[in-house]
Amino acid sequence: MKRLAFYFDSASCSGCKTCQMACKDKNDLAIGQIWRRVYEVAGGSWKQAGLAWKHDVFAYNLSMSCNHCADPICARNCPTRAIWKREDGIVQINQDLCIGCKYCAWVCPYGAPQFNPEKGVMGKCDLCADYIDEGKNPSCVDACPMRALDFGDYDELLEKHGGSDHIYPLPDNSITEPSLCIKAHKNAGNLNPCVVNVEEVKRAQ
Amino acid sequence: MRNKDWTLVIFTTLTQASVGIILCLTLLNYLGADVGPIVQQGLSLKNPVFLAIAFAGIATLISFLHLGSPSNAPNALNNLSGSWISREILALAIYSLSLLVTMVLGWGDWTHRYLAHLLVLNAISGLALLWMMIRIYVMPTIPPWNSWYTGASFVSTAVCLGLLTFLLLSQAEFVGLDDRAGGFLATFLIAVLVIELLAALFHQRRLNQMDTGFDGPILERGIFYRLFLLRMTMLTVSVLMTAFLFLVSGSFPESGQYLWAYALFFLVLVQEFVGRLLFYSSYFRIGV
Ligand code: SF4
Ligand code: SF4
Ligand code: SF4
Repeated sequence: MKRLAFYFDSASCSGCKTCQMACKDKNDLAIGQIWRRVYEVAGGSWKQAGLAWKHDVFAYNLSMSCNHCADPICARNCPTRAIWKREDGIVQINQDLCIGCKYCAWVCPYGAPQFNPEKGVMGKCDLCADYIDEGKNPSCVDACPMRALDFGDYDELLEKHGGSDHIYPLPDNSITEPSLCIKAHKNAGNLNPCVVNVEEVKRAQ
Repeated sequence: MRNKDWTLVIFTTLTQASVGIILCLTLLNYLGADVGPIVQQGLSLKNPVFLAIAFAGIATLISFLHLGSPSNAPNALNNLSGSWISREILALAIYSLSLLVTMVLGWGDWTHRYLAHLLVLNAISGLALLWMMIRIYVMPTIPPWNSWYTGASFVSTAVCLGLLTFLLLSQAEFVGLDDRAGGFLATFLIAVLVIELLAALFHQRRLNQMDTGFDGPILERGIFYRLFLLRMTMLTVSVLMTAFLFLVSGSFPESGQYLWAYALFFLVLVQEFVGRLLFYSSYFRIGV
């Protein structure tokens, strides 16, 4: 079975959020919903060395949507089976079945499912399945000016980019086995990183 | 607490109160109390089986308010093989049906012969429902709920409200309990309240030590800490009141201290709601 996945290059991402906007535009998302969010991570500090001050401050970005996990905790626990996996590995929500219980949003460690209060059902990134069926790229991938996003078969992406890194603030991969190939920013392994745009990503507009 | 979580606070507390009433009724029957006449009172608030049905019914109605698309509600049974929510809803339906059977049979004279069996069936379906409810919340991605405390708190809510309902019914002389049975229930209630108090303190200590990622410290969320202190105070007062009303003051159940008994019931019920509110407010999950 094919396993479509996203690739994200944290070293190249400038944090411009064009991907976020392209997704919002393509899916006609209302205020309060962003299916692709860009987290700004920063850390480090200044240290005195003799009479001088040295710093190891760093910053990088992480553009994140649904990761169409191999073992999606959302689908496993959805009482209506509204969340289902296509042959090509895309995890979709059938809004005609959804009861809007929000359980998928509780349990997904990537914050992907988002409640649409107008429709009373859940929505999330579907990897632009309609575009893919037409042979086109997902909207965010084509919109990225830095070419930091890509998509394709998971194994092929791993091969092309020489494996995948695990960076803060992503959870342990073993929980849902996300279909996500990441190239880490060179400072991603540094100590004390924190997300500095919490208000922005939590109160999506 | 997220929007509409209040519906879950009411749903879980009332459903657990319903199960607790049935567990106590079964226990009393097992201990030799004559519960036959009690369950033959039909649609009366003096009938614990009717009370249990009413609590489960109100809880079910309120649970619909939690849904974004209540008209799709029948779909909730689609994933019995994987979802604890689907299983919980099926368990709730079976439990309610089993209570209805006990109540309807109670109108005839049938119950006397089959009561013990019927109550065991009711209790087993109630325990199954309680188990499904607990499993919904014990999720590896939600650390504050992924703990023994979720089970302990749901079971203690059930037992505590069940015991208290019987003590109240006996105070109002709707249910005839002798001093021995009443004293046993009161002692049991005190033990459960003390366990709730200690469990809540231990759990709070655990929550304080948790790394919530960028969700921020749990204790600094709104009035969380003040509500926690309020709950601890209410639990302590409840223990003292139960001891005084049902053990120290002597004659049980003719003491006639209805008002105090009602006040105690109200205090424990509010305490349970506050505890459940704190439970939902402590939510955070791992990841982004
Ligand atoms: S990222 Fe979340 S919503 Fe998407 S498939 Fe994985 S668990 Fe489900
Ligand atoms: S909100 Fe909809 S998609 Fe999510 S778990 Fe509930 S029924 Fe499934
Ligand atoms: S569009 Fe590209 S560069 Fe801009 S935030 Fe998204 S992934 Fe980063």
